[in-house]
Amino acid sequence: MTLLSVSKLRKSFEGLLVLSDLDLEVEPGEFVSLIGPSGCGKSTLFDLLTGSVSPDEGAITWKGAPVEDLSSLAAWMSQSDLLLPWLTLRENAMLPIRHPTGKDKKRGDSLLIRLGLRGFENYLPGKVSGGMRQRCALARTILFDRELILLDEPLSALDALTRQGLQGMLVTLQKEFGKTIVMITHDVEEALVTSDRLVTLSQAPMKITGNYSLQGYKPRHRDDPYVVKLRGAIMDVLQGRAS
Amino acid sequence: MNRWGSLLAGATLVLLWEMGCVISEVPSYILPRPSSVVLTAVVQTPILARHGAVTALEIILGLTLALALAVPLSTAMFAKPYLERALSPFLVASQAIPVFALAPVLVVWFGYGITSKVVMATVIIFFPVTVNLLEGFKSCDRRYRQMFRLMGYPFRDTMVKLYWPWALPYFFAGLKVAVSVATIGAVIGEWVGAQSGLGYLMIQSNARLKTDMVFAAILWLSVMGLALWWLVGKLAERYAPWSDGDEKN
Repeated sequence: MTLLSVSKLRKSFEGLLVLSDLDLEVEPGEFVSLIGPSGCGKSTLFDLLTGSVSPDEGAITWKGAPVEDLSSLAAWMSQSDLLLPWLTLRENAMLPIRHPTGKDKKRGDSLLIRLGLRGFENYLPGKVSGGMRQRCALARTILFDRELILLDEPLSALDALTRQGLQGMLVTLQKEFGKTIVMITHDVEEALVTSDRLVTLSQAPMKITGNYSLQGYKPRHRDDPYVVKLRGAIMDVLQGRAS
Repeated sequence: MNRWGSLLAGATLVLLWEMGCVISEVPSYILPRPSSVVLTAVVQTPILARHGAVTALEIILGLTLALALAVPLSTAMFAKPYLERALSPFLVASQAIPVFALAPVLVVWFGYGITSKVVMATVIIFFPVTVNLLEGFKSCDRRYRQMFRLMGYPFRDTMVKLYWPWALPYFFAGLKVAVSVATIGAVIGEWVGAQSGLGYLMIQSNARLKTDMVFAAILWLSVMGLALWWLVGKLAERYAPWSDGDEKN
């Protein structure tokens, strides 16, 4: 059964149409990347999904049942790590669990270790690097314990090397924890490395312009001929639509 | 460098004041020399300390009472925006009334004892703390609120984990302003009617043309204000270290 289905979603702000009859389906365990030009309304789509704003029209369905939004169903991670500077990395990661048991704490600690934060658990976010902060944010997102994860350009603020490392980690953790991921990104290569499916979007009012099912073992290598070929094709689509 | 600059500027000002008094031969009951003010402040320490303790007590009690009112009120106004809309005009109006106008009435209501001065200090301290704390709560980034909502945190828990720590730097900024002006409330209360306190001592000394004592009392008041300001700064460093640009991205 389809996990998430969005149909005819429409949203405008002060007369400006941002989303126009958007349809999107996501299957369980899928990693879907949404790529579109800057300002096309990608983040508005996430705001609608998380219930921060209400759609003008359209419906959201979760496992076949209509829902108002995904606020109680999806985890969310943004471009900014959103760590609280007064809490340690461990406390930040554990935030989604309001009353953690000993077992939860162990699970949180082992996840932090998996993400390369061993020895930094008690550091404040201001004392560690941007990459470590983002890894902690990733741990927090996984500890949300939600089937679906919405990622809003989660790695875009990081340097290329850190980003590559985290892309691999993202794929590994997705497989291991059996999560479904919908990721907004403007990095075609990142989408090709990590995703099962890639959806291209037009400039506002946002519409789906392409839907690409990707093959092969993930994380794909960025120099893989398949990736290189697709990258060129998708860039053409995006630039063609942008112009 | 800034600290040395301040010290240098202060020392220059005092030196000019001293030299001005010597050169112009202005009578000490009009403008005493800084050296005689300092001498009086030291020699008359027992008297100044006795009155200073009363004023300090008024300020501390005023501070405690103001915080006991301001913290729950700003929290309630944040939790229930209709309360903010209803109470804001009264809060602003309370600050539009000059403290001097209130002082005689408060003395009539609460007497010549410490209570009227504590209430005066409370009135002055209450506003900056309430307004700053409320602004601190309201300044919380939308994305953090969104994250807490998605994590299913109820308002009370969000208040404890997010809004309060977020607003702490604002709270301490308000408190810094409050303690800087707190002495004004207490001293004005003492001027209108009191039996002790640095304000009372100033009025008594002024009537006897003991201007050096008036200035010595002002010096003690300044030191008290500075000490409170420094203390709040230290508390802010200890309990809200992220206020110093330790990014809330």
